[in-house]
Amino acid sequence: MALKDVWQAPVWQIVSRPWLSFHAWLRRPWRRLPLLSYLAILGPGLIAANAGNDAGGIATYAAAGASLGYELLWMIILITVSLIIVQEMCARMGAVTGKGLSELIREQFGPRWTVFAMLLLLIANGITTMSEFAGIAASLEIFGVTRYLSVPVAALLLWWLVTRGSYEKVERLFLVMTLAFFAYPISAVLAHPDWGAVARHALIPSFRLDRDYIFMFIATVGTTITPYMQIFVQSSVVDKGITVREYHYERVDVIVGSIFGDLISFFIIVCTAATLYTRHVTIETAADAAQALIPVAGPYAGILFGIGLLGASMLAAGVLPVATAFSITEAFGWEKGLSFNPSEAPVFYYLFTSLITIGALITLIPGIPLIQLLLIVQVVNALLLVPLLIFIVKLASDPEVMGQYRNGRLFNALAWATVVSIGALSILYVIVGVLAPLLGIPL
Amino acid sequence: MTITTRDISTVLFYLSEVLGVRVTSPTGERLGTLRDLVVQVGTDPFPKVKGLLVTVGGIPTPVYVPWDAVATIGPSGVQLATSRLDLRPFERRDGEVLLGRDVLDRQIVDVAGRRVVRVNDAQLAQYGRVLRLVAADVSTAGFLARVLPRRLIEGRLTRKLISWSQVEFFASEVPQVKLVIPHDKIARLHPADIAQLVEELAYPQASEVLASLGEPLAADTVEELEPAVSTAIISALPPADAADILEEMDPDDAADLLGELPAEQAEGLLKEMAADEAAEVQKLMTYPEDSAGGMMTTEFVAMPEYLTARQAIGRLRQQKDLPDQIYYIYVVDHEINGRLVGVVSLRQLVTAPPDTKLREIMTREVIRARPADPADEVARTIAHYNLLALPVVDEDDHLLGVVTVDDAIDVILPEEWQRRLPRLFR
Repeated sequence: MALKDVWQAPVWQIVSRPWLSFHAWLRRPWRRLPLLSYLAILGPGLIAANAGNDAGGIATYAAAGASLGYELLWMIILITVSLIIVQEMCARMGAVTGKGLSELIREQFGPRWTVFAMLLLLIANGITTMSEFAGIAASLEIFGVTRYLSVPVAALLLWWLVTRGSYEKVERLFLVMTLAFFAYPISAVLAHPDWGAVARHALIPSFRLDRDYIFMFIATVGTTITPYMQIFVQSSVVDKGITVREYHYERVDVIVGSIFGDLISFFIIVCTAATLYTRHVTIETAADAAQALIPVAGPYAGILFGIGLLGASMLAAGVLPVATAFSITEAFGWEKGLSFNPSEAPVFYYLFTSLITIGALITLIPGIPLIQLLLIVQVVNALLLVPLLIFIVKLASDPEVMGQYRNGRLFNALAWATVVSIGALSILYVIVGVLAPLLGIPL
Repeated sequence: MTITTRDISTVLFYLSEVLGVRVTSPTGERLGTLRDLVVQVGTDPFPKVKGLLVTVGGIPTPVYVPWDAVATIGPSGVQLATSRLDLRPFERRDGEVLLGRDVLDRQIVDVAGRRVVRVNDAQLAQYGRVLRLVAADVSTAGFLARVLPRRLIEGRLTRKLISWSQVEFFASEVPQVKLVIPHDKIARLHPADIAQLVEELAYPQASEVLASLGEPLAADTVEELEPAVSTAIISALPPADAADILEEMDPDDAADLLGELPAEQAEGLLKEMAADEAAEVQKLMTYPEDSAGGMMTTEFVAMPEYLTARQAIGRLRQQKDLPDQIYYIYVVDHEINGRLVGVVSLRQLVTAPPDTKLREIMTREVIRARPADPADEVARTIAHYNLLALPVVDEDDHLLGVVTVDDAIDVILPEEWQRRLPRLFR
């Protein structure tokens, strides 16, 4: 259905569902080529990479800028390369096999590894769903709405919208709300950062063996290469019916998407570093983080930030539970999807409903610090990412799965380098951040 | 319960029970570990096991042990009739399928149940000297049996089996070898059911099914598919096969499908198609998709007004390539390049006295559309006048095509269809 609708869609709709316009353009160039061709390179890769800028992403980048200044900018550039490598592998697997990641894990590694991988995915996506509810709570607290009202209402609303199949209609609204984050680059410029320092930190790596530093570092990794983004990009490539023949377009989309997504992350750090770090403001609440937008929005900074955060959180909270339930039931071969009713696909609905319920309930624990919660979720995501990446690289380099489209030698070396660096970093964090304090070793 | 080959009763066991068991020599010395079973897939509804894959020592690449060299096989182990093994690493040969590698955990079609299922385990049956694959286990019990320790589940689970003769397995799941599997069981289903199965499959397997169906059935199936699925399948098929299917499709559906493909690919397929079919489709592609021109098909029946009912019916009988549905006969004023002057329903035609001229029985006030009319207006017209088809004419009333009611429904209904689920996770 969708493609022909978009072709006649008003501009706002194309802006809000860019991946559709991409494929519409890709598929019928002779019809309306000149129109909106600049939007044409937007596709699954762009959506997935920008899903990295969800509640957890915004909180993490803002906290990184506020607590470490420009120090992490170099790793944003480095991690963009890693993100491109990982996303490209998943998109390519989707285009070559027509199968989702969890299906491929099941087929190539058998049931025990599948149980392991799906458990990882369930935990990663479960806590990320929770972080989206934390984002909903934090954003509405700016507007004075208590989380004991906002979270249950949002959870019920999302459950109802998704099961009714109406989520797609409101999805556009949430996407438009996230355009608020375009204010970050503007705010960054208006805040007059020390561009020399920005350039220096962006190009020259620095590292400290300091617990807070490593914590922020690994949280940034975890939120930039989130486990669910990889599942998502592969599923949407499959779902759009992109085959190897059209894959060269998709590769461009993945690269552009990753760069674009991380460019926003880069500017969030620059902006918060220039506004909050310089004044030694630490981010305890969403209202603190919103101050970074004062240069562009003045007294409306809170409103702007709140709208963006709410949109981003709702967007991800709507997609994540259903995507997770889908991936898991797919791997085990149970009935799946919203075209079945709950009695036909009980596990699917059970998973979907519990992800929303548990995620919402945890954020309602009285006194739980929302921003801290968001950061910890990203760290756990990074730790869970490594095993998942190993599956991804092994699959993408397997000639039995990928045939001639398997990873090249150089590409494979880069992919393993990414896995090993994130793995080493995770181990380092566990030693410095978890074991050392437990054993009372000062650092 | 080790099975001797002299035993004549049928003995059943599961693949998961034998993978990983010890392989011993006739004297009981350990030679290696059973890794996989090789079957020959062909016309046999229950494929025979041809040999075993065994790893020897610490070497990860397995070696091939032909079935003749196997004395006994069962969950308690494999005993060989010889202790001499050919230690060259195994290489796949055409037509060979590895049960553990290529069948276990893969998707198959349960033809009787008309659904796509995943193989959790496979049941083998030994009768005399022959070991066959007889059933696929698609139950959660079968899955658990491979995850949990055997002690924990022994006897507690009820498995659900599907006879292998009721299953379609995909050659495209088997890497690196040439394998042709006829999908004649699927071919017996209704195109709408085939389409539903195909939509659940990954596109390489979906195109394998389509390629095996034969063009008329494949074309009917593709017409039932969602755009994202049909374009993926068409672009995955060899261009010549894809072109054959496109030729068989209704020209308006073929035009819609080609319109979804990248330009160079669509042009390539049009070149592969028969010239007259390609020209028709190409003409339809020039109209915007959401207009009467984009919705219409060029397959319709038109006859000059001076024919009698008898002559008209005679022509229908003789005409080759009649459209799938003939709702109306459009009446034109001349045989060649005629203008639309009336319409006769099939009912009017067959109930009229044989010698009445068409112009005497036709309805003169024909509701018509122009190619540029918007799709929703066309759909509303069809609904309003309860038509089964609406003719599309140019400014001189020459017939260009007809929009049939099924295409009009597509315009009115998509809102309902969208409700089914988010596109992304189907």
